Amino acid sequence: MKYAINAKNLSKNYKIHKKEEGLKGSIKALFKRKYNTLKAVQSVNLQIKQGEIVGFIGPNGAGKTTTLKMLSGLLYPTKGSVKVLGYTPFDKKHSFLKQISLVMGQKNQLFWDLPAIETFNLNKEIYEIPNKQYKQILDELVEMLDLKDILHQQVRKLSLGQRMKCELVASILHTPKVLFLDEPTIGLDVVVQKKLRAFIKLYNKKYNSTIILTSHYMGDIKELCERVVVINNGKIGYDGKLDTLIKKYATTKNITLVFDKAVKRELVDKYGKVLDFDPLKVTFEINREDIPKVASKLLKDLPVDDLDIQETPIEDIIERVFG
Amino acid sequence: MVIKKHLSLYKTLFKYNLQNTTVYRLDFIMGVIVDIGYQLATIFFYSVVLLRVNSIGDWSYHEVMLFTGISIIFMQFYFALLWVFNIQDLPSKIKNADVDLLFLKPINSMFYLTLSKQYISGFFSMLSGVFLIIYSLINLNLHFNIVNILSFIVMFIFGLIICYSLTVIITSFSFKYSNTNALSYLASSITGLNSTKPHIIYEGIFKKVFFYVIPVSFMSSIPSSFLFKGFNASLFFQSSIITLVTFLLSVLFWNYNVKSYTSAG
Repeated sequence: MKYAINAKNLSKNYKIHKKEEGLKGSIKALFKRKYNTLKAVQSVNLQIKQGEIVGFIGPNGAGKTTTLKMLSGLLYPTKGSVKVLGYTPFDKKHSFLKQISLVMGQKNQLFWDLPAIETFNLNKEIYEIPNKQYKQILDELVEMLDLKDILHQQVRKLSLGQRMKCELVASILHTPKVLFLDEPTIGLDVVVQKKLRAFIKLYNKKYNSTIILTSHYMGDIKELCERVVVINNGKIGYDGKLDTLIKKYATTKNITLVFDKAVKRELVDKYGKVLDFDPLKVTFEINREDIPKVASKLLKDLPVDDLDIQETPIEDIIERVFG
Repeated sequence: MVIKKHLSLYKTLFKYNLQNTTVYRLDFIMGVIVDIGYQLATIFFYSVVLLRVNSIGDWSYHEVMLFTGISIIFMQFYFALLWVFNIQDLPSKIKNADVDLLFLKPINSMFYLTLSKQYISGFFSMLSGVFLIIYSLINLNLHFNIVNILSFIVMFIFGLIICYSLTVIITSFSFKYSNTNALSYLASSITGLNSTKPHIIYEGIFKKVFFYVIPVSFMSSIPSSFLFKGFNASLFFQSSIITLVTFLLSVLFWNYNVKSYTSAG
């Protein structure tokens, strides 16, 4: 089978300078340095079909971004091989670069002092997008992300959410077949997060693009990805369906209650495992299938002012995957 | 086709930089004033020194002044097109991985990272050089022919390419050794060696070094001499070879060092 992304035994090591603390250490380092090898990614195997959306999750420093950078061609792997759309990414052939895009939530490409439309026009030239196609895709993206009113506004005057939407447009004007999204919703409010997710879903459907998404928000992963890859310390611990991962490792949800008057600890212990308690607020860890029953009992028995049910944080799931 | 695409991109980027410059008017005006002030101080210094010695080597006072005017224009081209907004910050951009997204665009990275931004005020600062050239030409009463003028223009462009290439060779090591701000300053110091010093002041081993090892003599000094000393086939040939070799070396060094880029985060 021909994959859009096919990585075999992909590894990346970094040589890290180990400095002793203080001024003495700094002076010593001027003459003699000690280096450690950091194994950022270790023997990663990854096969992704055209049109698939894959969630790539892991804690900070797990190797997600390094893997994306190798897949996109930004970094040379220390070991292993990778083919994306049949190309070796780090050859950086222009015909390859015209078919991919990397969006990083914490990096920007928009001209800060000019309206976003100027960056779009520049990308049109860089990617050599024909006029008719450019106009059509731009109109489409502007409509989908509701950008009409801000297109001609200076980028520095835009909100973070508006800027991220524009960053996304700038990155996909050339309708890439493979899209690497590294924390695209980081720092955005819930409403914008939802809009971006809906957009990514629509884009994937319309252009049958392959998307790898890294995110710390379980909401992003749940809404967009059928398949997830869990990585920690540079090694893949799980690669499979999200449903299976949830069934196996995210067997609980958290319920947080806010009380309208103080409640004693002994009154709440009987409802489930208490993660956090103060007389006006408590958080329980409850089995997924028991949620409706327990929630309704809590509302009935206790002076509840507010109730919130949260997914198990990604970090906890990863911890369970890696034992 | 590739050259056409990059020329067209350069035009677009120039247009954007012009727009950017007009956003901060005061910064732009202050930039022009400070630069012209600096150039006038340089001219004043040289005129004071030269009034006492009258000539340098076989170059007369007005010939040196003509060269100084050309050097000012040369250096302003260097600052405006290359150094101020591209090379100066390149090491810190590399250290902070601000170049990541650029490497993934279907565009020559050396072109984009070294030439995409222009320091527009720098072009206005060329005025002091233009003034000095006009003043010297009036006093020199030179008789130009088409060979003089054309060979000077070609040599001046060769000089800019040599200057660009040397700067790129030095700065490209920032990809290999992160946090190397000293490299961009080294590049500007080497080219600065040329800015106000005619090649005739070097003799013996220094002459060889500044001709063939760090060929700063070919940047603006030798091209200037074509205006008042006439066309010199040997120097023209040497300059052509050095331009080609340094440019090819800059591409090789850039491509080699870029492979060491480790990004960040």
